Amino acid sequence: MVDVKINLIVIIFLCLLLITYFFYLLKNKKLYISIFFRTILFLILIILMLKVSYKVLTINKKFDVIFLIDNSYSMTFNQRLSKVNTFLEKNFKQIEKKANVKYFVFNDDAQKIEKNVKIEVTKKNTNIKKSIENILFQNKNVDVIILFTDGNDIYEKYPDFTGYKTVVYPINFNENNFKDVAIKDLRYSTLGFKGTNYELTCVILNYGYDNKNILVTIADEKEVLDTKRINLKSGKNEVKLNFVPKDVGKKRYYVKIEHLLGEVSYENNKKYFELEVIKDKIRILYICGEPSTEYYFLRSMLKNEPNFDLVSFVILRNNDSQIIVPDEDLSLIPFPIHDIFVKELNNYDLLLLENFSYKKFSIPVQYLENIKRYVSTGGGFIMIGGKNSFSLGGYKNTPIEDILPVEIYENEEFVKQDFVPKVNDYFDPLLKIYDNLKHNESILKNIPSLKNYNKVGYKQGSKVIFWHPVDKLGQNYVPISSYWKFDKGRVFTISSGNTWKWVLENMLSKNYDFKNMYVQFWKNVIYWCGGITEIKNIRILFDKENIVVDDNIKIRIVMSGKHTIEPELYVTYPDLTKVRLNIKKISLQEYVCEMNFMSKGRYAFTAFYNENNVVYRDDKIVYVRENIFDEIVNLKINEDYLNKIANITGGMVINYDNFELEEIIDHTRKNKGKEYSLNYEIYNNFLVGIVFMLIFISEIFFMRKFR
Amino acid sequence: MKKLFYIILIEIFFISNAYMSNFKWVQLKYEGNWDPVPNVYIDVINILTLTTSITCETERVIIDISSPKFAFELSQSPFIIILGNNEINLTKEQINVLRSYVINGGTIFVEDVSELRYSKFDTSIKKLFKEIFPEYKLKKTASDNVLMKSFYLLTQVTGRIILNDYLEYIEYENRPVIIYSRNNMISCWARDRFGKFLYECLPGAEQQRFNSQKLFLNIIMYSLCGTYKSDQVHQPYIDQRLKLRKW
Repeated sequence: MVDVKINLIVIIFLCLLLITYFFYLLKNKKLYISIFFRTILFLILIILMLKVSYKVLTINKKFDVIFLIDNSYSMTFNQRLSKVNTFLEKNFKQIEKKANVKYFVFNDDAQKIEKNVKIEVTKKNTNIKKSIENILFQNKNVDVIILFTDGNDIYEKYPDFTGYKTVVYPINFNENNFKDVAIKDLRYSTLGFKGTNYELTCVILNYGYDNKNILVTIADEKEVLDTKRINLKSGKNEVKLNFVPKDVGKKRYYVKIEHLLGEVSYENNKKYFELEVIKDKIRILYICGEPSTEYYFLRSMLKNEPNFDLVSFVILRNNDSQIIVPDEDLSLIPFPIHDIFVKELNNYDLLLLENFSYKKFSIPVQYLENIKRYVSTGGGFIMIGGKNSFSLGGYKNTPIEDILPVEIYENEEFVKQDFVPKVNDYFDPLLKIYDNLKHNESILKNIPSLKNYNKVGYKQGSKVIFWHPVDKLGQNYVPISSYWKFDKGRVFTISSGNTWKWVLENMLSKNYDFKNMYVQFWKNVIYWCGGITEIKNIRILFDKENIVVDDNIKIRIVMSGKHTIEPELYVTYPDLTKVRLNIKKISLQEYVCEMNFMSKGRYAFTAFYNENNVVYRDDKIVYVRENIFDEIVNLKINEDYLNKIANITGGMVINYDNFELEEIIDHTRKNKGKEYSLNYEIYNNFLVGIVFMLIFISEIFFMRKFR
Repeated sequence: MKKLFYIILIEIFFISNAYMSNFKWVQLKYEGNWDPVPNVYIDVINILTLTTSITCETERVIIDISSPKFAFELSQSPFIIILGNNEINLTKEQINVLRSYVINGGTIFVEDVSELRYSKFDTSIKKLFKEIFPEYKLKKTASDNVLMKSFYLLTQVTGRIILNDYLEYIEYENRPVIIYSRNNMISCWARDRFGKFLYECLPGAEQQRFNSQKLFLNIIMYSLCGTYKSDQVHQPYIDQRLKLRKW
């Protein structure tokens, strides 16, 4: 195309020179040459101003055709790729005569291949959009793409053909008797509870086995956990499976459907999933000293969380409140002090006190001793600030003071102030909002403000989550939120009872989801205090969940606090070989290494360090699966996709048995008609500018010479 | 009993404790009749302080919907009150702010004080609800709704008049987020400078007024306790009391 343009302009320029020479030979040279040059200059200016272009029809041009062949894993079924190989072998010479042909294979991207090469299947997924777009980018003038694919593209996106005149003709393999059942999807929660019924929904795709009864089974490595028989209907079928997890920990299970005679593949009849089994629901007892917005928000969050079993009491009326209606007109219930603090306390995993003063209700100090004993033996305890919390609630010199992770003072202040809490440690497990550490740090750096706080002090041995940004008590800043382990129990405090502001101020945030941050923060706190999660000094984190073969994953080791001791990281591969991985130091708390998961199976990771003769460690198990499962879920030819891709470009789906290249070329020529032409934009050619300049200079030269 | 209620209401003395208050009367100001009964908040706050454990802010907070700080001010107030008797028109941006407010935990109490079956306020506010929450419909309260038992046990929805025997509400994440009344219960609180009630309650007179006031206090209690009274632990007590009551 470019050659044609240049030649044309060069020819015009040479003609002009020739005419100039002719005029030069004439007698009244000056006048003629002058008129001639100026006319030419004027014409060029007109061309430039009107943006003149012209079209050349290329009806008889030999077509550029690309044969694009899908060699992803799904093409192995029903001998699809063998059919393509046979076809090319048979028609190779005929095709070569009729068009300029190139051959490409594609899976997750396209790759050029030589003529007459036998195409092998790969264990990769299909990305039709990316492959076609890359081919078009490299072959801008391709007229036709003959597409051999089953359309099983997990992304199911259409290529962008804007600016291209290429017509796509997908080939349909004619699989009229296609028969297969497959597990399309498993819908499940990644968290289950020991001893509590766990339900999972299995979505099954059926082609060709209508009204057939099949067995669906859920099992772990040892035993079958549940079996259901269902009668298949055409297309999607759903079946619910139930079992009761017996042990806590991360476990791998699978769902399997019965093999049926004549199925295209059995590979999609089984699917694995992982489940974290924890002990049954966390039972929370929440006592709030007065109705408050903090109670409203926190209660809503706890109630909406299926893993929490909440019993709460709010003191709606004080002893000195006036009574203006008879008791039967009020919905109040007596506050069961004895039941709560003596009889029932041990039935809860966690006791939460918000702005609650025991003195107001004449609760004996012995009951507080019960709380201390409850925490010592493994219970969780949370205190939320307010004018009736900490020392202001009368807890100074009581057993509660001993269990709190903060120092409390007789003359405690309740400070009226808005402030943005300062994060002590961005890697603190209770502050884990996102798996991605950068995202996590980013949201915490922009945390909305809190309001009002009890001025408590730092207690040796506690871990501080938030400090007050400026207010100090002694040498330390005022701790706003702290936690620690007291004997076997866990205690958490937050001296500002206004964390609800994080949720409501989410309405002002465009970049961060503070509502989610609030929920995640409190869930972390409840899980830890409730004894579900263990806070470790060292943790192994992966940049991605659901790792598949060939994934290159960053593995991070995050240590709590700053250490000079370097941790060690080991991996045990599926073949049971154990290797130490090289880790790179990012900071005093974080180390990272990259690892390629080359094969499927179980990978066991162990990270540890030794400090003062104490070994801190974390273990993680990762199950890596084949990348191809998504590709083979639905093996039926995706005719809708093939039709749409043909329609977008003006092509059509061609039957495998009726393939004729000549017909395809004719169809393209007929459909594209006059539009199928090359457009030359004269005004846009820099040579026109050069010609203009040369004539302009020549005109000046001649005028001076014949003056 | 009712007399005692009114006497206490007049005589109560305030101690300002705004900084640690849990309840603020926050009212939305818009173009139109946004404040039909200006001083009722004082009596409501008085009676709340007197009869419940709620610490209240004594000053009313007014949020001007046309203010550039509208969204920020809203984000500091978990409960707002919208009153009116005429058409209310909001911009798309203001509607988006209100939607975001409700989704992020805010609660809105709306009252049509026009006392008309077909009022401009009712038409425009219902249109507004649809724009704020196109995916949710207004529901009607049943006798066991949490708003009927969040502090006082009530069996009827009333106001200065009884246009509807129910409140309407939009529920989001298992909690009523917009509560809408058409019975003009706010006017049951309005008094003149001598302490005499300005508007007669029809048809139930003073008993109706008292019940309407209790219902309004229930709504405020709900804004701080949520659906607390729907918890299973309360149910046997509430059932027992309902049986004991003399109607």
